[in-house]
Amino acid sequence: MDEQVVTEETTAPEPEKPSKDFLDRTWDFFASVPVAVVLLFIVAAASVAGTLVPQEGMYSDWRTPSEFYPFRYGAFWGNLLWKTGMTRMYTSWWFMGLLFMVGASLIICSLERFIPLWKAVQRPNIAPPSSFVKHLKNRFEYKPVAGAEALAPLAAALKSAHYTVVQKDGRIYADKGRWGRWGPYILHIGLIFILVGAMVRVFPGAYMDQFIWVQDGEIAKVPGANWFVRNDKFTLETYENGQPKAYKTQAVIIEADGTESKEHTISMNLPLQHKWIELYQSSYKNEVGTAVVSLTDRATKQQIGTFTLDLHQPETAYKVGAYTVKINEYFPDFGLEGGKPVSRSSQVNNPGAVLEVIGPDGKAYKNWYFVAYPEMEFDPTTPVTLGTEEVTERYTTGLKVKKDLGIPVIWFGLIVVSLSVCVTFYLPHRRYWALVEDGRVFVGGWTNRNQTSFGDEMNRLANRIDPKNNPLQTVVEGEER
Amino acid sequence: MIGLSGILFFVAFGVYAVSALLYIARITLRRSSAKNFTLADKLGDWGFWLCTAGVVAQAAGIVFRWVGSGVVPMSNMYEYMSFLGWSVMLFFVLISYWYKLPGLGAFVAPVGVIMIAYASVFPTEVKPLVPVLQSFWLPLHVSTAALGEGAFAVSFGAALMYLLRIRKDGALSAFEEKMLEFIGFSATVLVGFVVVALGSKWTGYQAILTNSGNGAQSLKYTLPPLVGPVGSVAGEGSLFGMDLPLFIAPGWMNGANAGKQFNTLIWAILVGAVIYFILRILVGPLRELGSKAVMGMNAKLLDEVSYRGIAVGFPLFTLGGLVFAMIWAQKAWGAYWSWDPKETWALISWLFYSGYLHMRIVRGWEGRPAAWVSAAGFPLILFTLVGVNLLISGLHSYAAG
Repeated sequence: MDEQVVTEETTAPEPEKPSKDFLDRTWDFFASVPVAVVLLFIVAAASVAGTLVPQEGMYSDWRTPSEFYPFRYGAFWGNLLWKTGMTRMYTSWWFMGLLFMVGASLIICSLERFIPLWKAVQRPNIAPPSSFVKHLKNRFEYKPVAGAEALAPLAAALKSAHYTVVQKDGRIYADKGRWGRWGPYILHIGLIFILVGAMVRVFPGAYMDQFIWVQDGEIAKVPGANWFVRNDKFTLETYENGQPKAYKTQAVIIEADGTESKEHTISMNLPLQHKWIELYQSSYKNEVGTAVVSLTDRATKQQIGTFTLDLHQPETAYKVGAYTVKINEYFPDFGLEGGKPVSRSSQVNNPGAVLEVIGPDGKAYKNWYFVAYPEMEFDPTTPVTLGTEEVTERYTTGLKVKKDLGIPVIWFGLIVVSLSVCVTFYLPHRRYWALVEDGRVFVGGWTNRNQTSFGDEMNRLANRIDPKNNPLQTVVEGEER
Repeated sequence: MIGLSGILFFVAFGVYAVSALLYIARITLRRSSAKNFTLADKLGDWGFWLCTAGVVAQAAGIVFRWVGSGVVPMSNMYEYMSFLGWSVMLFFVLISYWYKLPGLGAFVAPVGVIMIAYASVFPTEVKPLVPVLQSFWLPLHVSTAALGEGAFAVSFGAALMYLLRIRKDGALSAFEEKMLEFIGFSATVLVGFVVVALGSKWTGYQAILTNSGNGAQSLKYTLPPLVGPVGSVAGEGSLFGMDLPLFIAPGWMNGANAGKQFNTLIWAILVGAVIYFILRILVGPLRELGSKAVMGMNAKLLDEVSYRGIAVGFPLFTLGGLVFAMIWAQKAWGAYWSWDPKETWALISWLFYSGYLHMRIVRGWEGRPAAWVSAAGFPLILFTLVGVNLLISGLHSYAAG
């Protein structure tokens, strides 16, 4: 880069006005406010487009993006949208490029104006030419009382209005609300923090967005962490009209060494936070959990006993009095495929099992048993019948597992933005200059915000010092009489 | 308590309506003869005090509803629209107090009246909050954003008045004249929309139409179906013995409720057009009427009020519409920003107004261009508030009821 600067400068036709090199021109480009506004406008327009084209993962259709967009918009437009990234716009390279340019504009605009402003605000010209003071839009003059110090009443009035007053060589400079001038710059810094915070996720390990299902009473490993979460109980509360009132998961954090380090009830708006990872209540499902199965003597209709069958992880055998029930095959989601029994999924939707009942005499009888349809028997001759006494339900909570190390940066940026946007608009910087000429005091004032109320303040001030020459003005009349 | 709140709401509505009439009467009197100025001023004062009383009554109504039901009164369209109407009236009262500009009342008070009338279209019963809305961020986010939007509305009104004021000096191009008239027409369409919605609520009109497009198999129309969904047959609805629908919605409108919304839009435009043409015949072009109303007003002050509205509204909107929204989204959904349509449109409005502020503060934009930008900003806000809910769904869709 340095080399470039040298060559540009040496080959410039007019050495006293060196032509600007690429870096300078780039700098000037981003330092321009109209350019910044145009950039904002382009980002806004692009965002509009992004809300009009359904984004990938947001549309409700079973087609994959490469099929959906041509289907929705026709082959040409659909492929064009998909290929240019319009369908995943907010993560596309060109949208990121736009945001990057906005960031550059934010930084460069601020730097460009910061130092001149710093000088103007912190080292103000206390004694500007008298013509400057006399030509300010807001001004008044007064005749000092003979014998008294000419500027004293003004200084006193300004001090009582909480101004910082500097009196030097027969001049007065007073101002208040300096922070108001810094507001926009601090606001920009806050916005840069937000952009930086959003970019933190590109670092490996800084960002994660996962989802886990945890059944009541079960322990699940939290992805991306070396600790576990146990769901003691999921509760779904409803209002009287059946509308959901609360989804809650009683969660316990278990460290790798087995210690329980935290207990927390996760609910909407109340995530669990542990070591930079947050668990959000996000979904739930309701499945059958266990079935109480009864054994009945077919001949006498006498119940022999019951056992509790875990429908998620059945044991290989259960003891019922003198009987033993062996689970030979188990299908949590029973179905037939090509005449053969299969489990269509691992979900407990239609549990069925091949059981072997071994009586006290040691004889074994095999039979099918369906939890939902115990009367469906394949062999009606066995001495023992099976029945379903009770089915318990079991909730499974769906937790969103989120890690984003950028969040503290974002939060800081948001706080800075919130404070500085209020300072920018609600704290005006007000300045007064005064000088004595020909036995009269000339006072001029300037403010960056809210001219009307500043004019009002000045009028009241002038009236207090010299009511004869400065009558109280009635408030600005909005309409002619 | 909730009953009392309803009464207060109704009282506020009545008071706003009377003050809007007073403000309009005031301007009419002033235009008629200089002799009437004293009486006109009196009317303006009454209008101001009535508005103030209305704002206080409605605020009390909101508090009573909250206390009485225990549910934050900002969770459905009725509550939200009336809160927005309240914030418009609040900023009008504040700005009338800061600047002596009672003429603003003839423009802003009717807007508040229309908003509250529109609010009453929606079901008013208190509904318990779904889990995701149970957070103190709900009142913070909604009220702050709505207050900012109220200030933007006042700015919009002042910008329009400014343009109407300077057009008599021949400052506007032929295109700008057309745009002004178009804004006037759009306003009558909005009024038409509210009239149609109220009419449908009062008459209780219903028609069930077959739908073979997206969504449910049948759609319940609460307005006579001029346009039916794909698959509907003439005769499924009727109006004065006429078989409806007359047309079927075009196939490219494939939202679940597209036919129904298109029908509502047509009704609003029809009724709006009728109002517009009646006004046009009675009093001539709307922009002429508006110009007469703002005649003699201080253009510089109107320009400043328009800026002031944005300067006050922008920080509120930044806090409520973006900052609080992001914090809450992180708490509730685990993502501070998900490019949800509502979020995106709030960002678009924010970018738009920051563009305005940069041009105004740094580049010294004033007067005509600034007024046009402010005038364009408020429709953007309206779209973010209502249009996104009606046309694009997303995470914010629970606000629709």
